[in-house]
Amino acid sequence: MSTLVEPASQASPGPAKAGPGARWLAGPGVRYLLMLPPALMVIGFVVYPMVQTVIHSFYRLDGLGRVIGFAGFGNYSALFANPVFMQVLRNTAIYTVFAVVLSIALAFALALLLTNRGIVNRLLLVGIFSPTVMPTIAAANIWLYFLAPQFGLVTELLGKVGISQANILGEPGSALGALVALFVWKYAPYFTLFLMAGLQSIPQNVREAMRTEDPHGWQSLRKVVLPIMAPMLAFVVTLAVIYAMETIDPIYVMTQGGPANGTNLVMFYLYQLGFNYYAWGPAAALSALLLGGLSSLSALSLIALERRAFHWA
Amino acid sequence: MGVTWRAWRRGLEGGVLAAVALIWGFPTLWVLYATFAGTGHTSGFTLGNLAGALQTAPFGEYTVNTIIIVGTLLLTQGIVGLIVGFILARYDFPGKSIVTAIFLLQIVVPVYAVLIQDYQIVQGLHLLNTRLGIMLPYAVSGIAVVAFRQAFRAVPRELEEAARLDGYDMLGVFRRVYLPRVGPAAIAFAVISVTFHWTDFLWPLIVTNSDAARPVVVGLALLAEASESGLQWNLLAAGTAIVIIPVLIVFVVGTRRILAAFTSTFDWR
Amino acid sequence: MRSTWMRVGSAMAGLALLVSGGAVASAAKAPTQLSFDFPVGVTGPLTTDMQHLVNAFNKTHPTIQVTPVFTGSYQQTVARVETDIQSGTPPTLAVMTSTSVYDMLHLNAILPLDSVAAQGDYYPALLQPEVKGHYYGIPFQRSTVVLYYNKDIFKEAGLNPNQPPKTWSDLVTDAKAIQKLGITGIEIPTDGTCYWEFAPFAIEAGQNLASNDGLHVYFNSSAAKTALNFWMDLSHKYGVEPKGILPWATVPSDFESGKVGMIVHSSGSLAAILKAANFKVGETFMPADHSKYLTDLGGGDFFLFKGASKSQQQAAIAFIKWMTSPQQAATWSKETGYVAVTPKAYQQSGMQKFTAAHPQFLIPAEQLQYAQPELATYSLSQIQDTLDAAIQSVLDGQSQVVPALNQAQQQANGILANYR
Repeated sequence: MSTLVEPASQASPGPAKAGPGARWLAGPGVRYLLMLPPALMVIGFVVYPMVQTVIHSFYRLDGLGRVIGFAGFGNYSALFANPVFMQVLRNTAIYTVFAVVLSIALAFALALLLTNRGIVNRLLLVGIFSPTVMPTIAAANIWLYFLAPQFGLVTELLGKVGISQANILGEPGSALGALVALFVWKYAPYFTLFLMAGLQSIPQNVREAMRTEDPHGWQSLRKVVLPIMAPMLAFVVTLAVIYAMETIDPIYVMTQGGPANGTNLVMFYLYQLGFNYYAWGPAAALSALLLGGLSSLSALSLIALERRAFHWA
Repeated sequence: MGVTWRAWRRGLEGGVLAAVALIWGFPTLWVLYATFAGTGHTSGFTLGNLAGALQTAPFGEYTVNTIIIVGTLLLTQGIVGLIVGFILARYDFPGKSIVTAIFLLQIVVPVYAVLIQDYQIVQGLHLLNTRLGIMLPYAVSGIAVVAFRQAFRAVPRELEEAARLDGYDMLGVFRRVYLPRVGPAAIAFAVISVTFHWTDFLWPLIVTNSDAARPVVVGLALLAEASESGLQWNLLAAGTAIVIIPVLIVFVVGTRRILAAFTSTFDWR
Repeated sequence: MRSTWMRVGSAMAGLALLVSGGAVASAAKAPTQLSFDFPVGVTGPLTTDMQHLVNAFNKTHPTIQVTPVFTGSYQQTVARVETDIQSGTPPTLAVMTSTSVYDMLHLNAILPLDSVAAQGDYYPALLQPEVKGHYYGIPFQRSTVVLYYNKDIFKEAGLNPNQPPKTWSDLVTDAKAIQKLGITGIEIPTDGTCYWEFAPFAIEAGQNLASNDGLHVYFNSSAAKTALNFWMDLSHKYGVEPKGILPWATVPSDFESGKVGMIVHSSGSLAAILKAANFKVGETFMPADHSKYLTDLGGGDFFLFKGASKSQQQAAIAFIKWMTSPQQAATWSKETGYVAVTPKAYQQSGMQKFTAAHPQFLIPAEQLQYAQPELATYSLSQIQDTLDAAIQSVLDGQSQVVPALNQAQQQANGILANYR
């Protein structure tokens, strides 16, 4: 890890190359001072509300979110007692696994393809990366249009390849699949950028060696590329999981959690609990659970990152 | 033997890329097409949809708001990220893990969990319906901090030693040794920040009451969030076009540079 | 009845006093500021129309300044109102679905508007429900479930374009004739809050989905079962409707592009459909099962929130009255297809000319005498979701009619038990 380095300027006899205030600037007090406002901002807008939510999750709350009594684990048990919630958990697990695996796999493949090619047609690039700049609301509405039963473009295409009367959003299984597809469509290019960066960190001599010794690339992929990419992969996978679990806009626009709660994912359910059902107690409990889950995931991956970060020195 | 395999493989790769580009780019193409093509009664090139969309809401004003919000946030997040990232990369001090954890929490906490409390804070500061109010909770970006921290960590100590021997103090070292290395990370983080804030929808909707501070995505919602009747798709396409065309243009013009930035940053060395 | 009149009378007297007392002072002070949350139930230039209306009001009422706030869809409006209430700054006025009254009351957030209800000459059906003797919502953009049909396709199929189906069996016959042309017979949207399109069928089969006190629902009545079986038959037995769930947002587009002969949708979609369709559009009552044409109501009402100052409240009341007066009601109805909330609106000369040219706009008004209240209960969103999920799981083939509806009833009872 990084070692403690005290600024040497206070002892160095060389000519000062900055103004008189610079010495004070380098002192440790300044560090704290500089970090304080940003830290306070995050504490104010993120940490404090979360702490408040977690505390509230152990109390009974009325329709306006005000505390009206102690609940212990009551909100949590109410949450888990609801069969809809169990379905939500199941949906979210399936969705997240598929969304993350597919988008990362595709991103990795794209990263490899794009890196090796060097010069890629600008139009191709814009096409591939265009989903990133489209607001999810718009994208979701457009896909809603494409997936319309009978006459949407995708439905018609499917008809041509033999799948007639497709109603993608009308069945819980395929609707969830459509959401996965939307996620992959939107985020794979995004992750590709990160992974391309990761590929660049393979030193030139290693790349040469790979090219001569293993023209097909499979062996080097496994033995060289993946280990080097591990920290970047861990980072991107964490991002992917977070984004997947926070999916809500497409559900809002395309399915409203339906049909029959088939696409009700955890963030949408949280929204329902709070803003539709006014069940602020269970909502707080769910927020707390989400916080716990997501933070531990991030912590794990970032620890993995720290360990590996100095691997290829 | 190796040559033909390579050529064949290159061709295949090219084909795959083209297919991906087509599938991924198709919705954007459709948006552009539907914007300028006619609806049921008319056909052929038309600006009517754009006009209809512009009639619904002052998209010009919205776009200005969005540019201001996105630009200011980029600056603030960047500067804060640089400072905090540098301190976290370079120094050890008691409580460092906690501080790092705080900034990491920013990345992880879901919006809906803190929506109402953040709204109340902004309200207490009398910043509702202002661009500042929209920007405030986002001013510090955990991703910026992490990105710059990694970039600074990648700088070899020897460079700093050398600069010190030249007599530079901390500020000088920062400016001459660390800052120049930060370009790619900055561009990478910029892309993340811009794409997120350009399309962020729910928070600005809740915080704004009027057109004064509204960003352009909310204008899009005016077209899309139909409550009772079905959607008018051409109008929606036009609204979407207004939202994405500026960013697309930047992307098209700067494709290589943006790509280059991502391919030389995030060097997790 | 008498006490209502007394209450109304005293309220009006009080109001008159307030107004007269305020009139003297208002000349000297700044205009009362009102915030007005509205969801704009339709897309496109209607936001501009709303703005025009508000501007006209502000100009003719210089002591009041109404600021319209666009708050997204009905759902987002509720989220917004909830956030505002929790933060201690509720809006003065909002247009929300008329059925949100019970939940808003449970949050203790709204004020009764009996005085406005009494003097406005609104269609009585639109004022329901009366909760504990008070009216809380004043109708503004209300709709009914209607059947749209393509007159050109009817002609092509050998059906009389001026004789739309009047009964369920007529519906099936006509749809089958259309299917013979290779065009889909009928589409009924079933995604999202499909209880709304379902209700007319249940009502006609004998029973509405809920009682009028917000506490009881009838999801597994024989009427509901009959209705749901009919829905299943349309796609599975008669083959006149696509199987599975059909999205609300795309069904009108299918209709406008001539790919389906009949659709069930909101009367509020009329304006948009007329604009996009290039064939003759017919609109009619929902077909009856036994004898009566019955339909379901929908749409948004004005609600007045607690927390506004007295002057704001009276200004808000003036605004509500103005927006729902015959002239404005007629304007809004013309521009949307929502039913004008007072019969006097249809007597306006401009409106009469308009409806002569576009008779479809009269259908919802004619339906009102047959219209039944919309499903409205406490914990409404959850109750709706329960029924919607049940209906959708049946249509998807995941469960059978009887067990699904029974389960829905059971769940709903559990939820409502907290309020009884």
